Amino acid sequence: MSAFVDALRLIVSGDTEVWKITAVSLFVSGAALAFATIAGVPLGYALAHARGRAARAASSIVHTLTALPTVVVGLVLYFMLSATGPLGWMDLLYTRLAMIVGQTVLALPIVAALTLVAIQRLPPAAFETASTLGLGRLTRLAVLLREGRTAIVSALLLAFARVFTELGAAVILGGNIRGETRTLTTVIALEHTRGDDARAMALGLILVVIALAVNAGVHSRWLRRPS
Amino acid sequence: MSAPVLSTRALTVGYDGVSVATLPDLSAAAGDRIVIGGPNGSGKTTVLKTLAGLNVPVSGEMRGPMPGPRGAIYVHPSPFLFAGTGQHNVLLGAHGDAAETERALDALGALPFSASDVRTLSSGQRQRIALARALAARPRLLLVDEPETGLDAAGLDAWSRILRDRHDMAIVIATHRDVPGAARYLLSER
Repeated sequence: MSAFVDALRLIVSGDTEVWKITAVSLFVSGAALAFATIAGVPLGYALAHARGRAARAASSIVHTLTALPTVVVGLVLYFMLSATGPLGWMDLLYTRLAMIVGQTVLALPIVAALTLVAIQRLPPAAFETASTLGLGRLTRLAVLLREGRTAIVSALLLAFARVFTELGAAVILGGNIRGETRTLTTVIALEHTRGDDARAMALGLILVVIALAVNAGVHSRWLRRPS
Repeated sequence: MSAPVLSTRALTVGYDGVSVATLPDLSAAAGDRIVIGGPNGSGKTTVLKTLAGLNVPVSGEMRGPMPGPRGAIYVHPSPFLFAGTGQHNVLLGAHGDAAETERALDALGALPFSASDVRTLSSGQRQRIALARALAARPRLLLVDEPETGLDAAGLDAWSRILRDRHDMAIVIATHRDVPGAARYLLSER
């Protein structure tokens, strides 16, 4: 309980480092979600329209990748980005960009798989209407995505929750460098190891509050039941 | 006599190669009206979707326009309207032509509620928006599945005027009603 009180004290004290860590977390996860959305929504839409064995295999792979362990993604990318790895020349390891890449890999399958399901679940009349009106590719994409918007927004929310609260990829790829790649989850783990549970709890509270606020905001704007 | 917009010969329609109905040979030119009748489940909807180019025929020959503007347009019995206003939907049919959108909405008497969100419309109003959306595409072949569904007296009047006055298109209708001057083809019960 005292750790909890200490946590509240730390939050209201306006500790600049705490807020910087929070900002890095939001930046990294927000950027990863943006990239995953840009790639994942069109990918899910394309897979929903694709036919044949290759398409079924691709859908199955995308669905399976939603269960990728964060620490495995971190490790694989670590070996690729390390000095001796194939992408070592990019010198990305222990940077925010490396963390963004890792979290994008985690978020993309969620966005793509759930967009695929959202589009597949639309009534057949939606596709037939788009076809009979002869809508161009982009217009068709826009109207069908709009029809599936509730499920797609829900997918984005889930993807954000996945990356904002993950630890494995962030700590392996970011290296937990003070002022640079420290995020809420990496510092919570660090402070707990050091025995500073008040600080760990404070950061945990901020993490929960932000996650709840994002969920509540998105729900009130996009996922409300029509009255 | 103008060239046929649509002609079929020994056309069998169905899904995934399984036949649902065989259509008597038909031919329609601009201005022609054709009624496809038959009991529930006789395959009227499948026939219309096939004539509209949305389904692949099981066998036989068919010549008609491709789906799309100035082609073949199919209207569902319970039309699907895209999220947004009625006007947005009709504008999609008109492919962005605002003047055509206005004309089509006016022809169906749908201007007064065209700015409303489609979720707030009654089934008759939705039907009028869907018909206006189809008209706005200026099809050569219009295929309408049970157009009277939900239409009130004013809606039925507007639809009758379209059947009477729009000589620029062939109209095929699946309905149990009589349509003046229309050739009638009956599908048998399966």
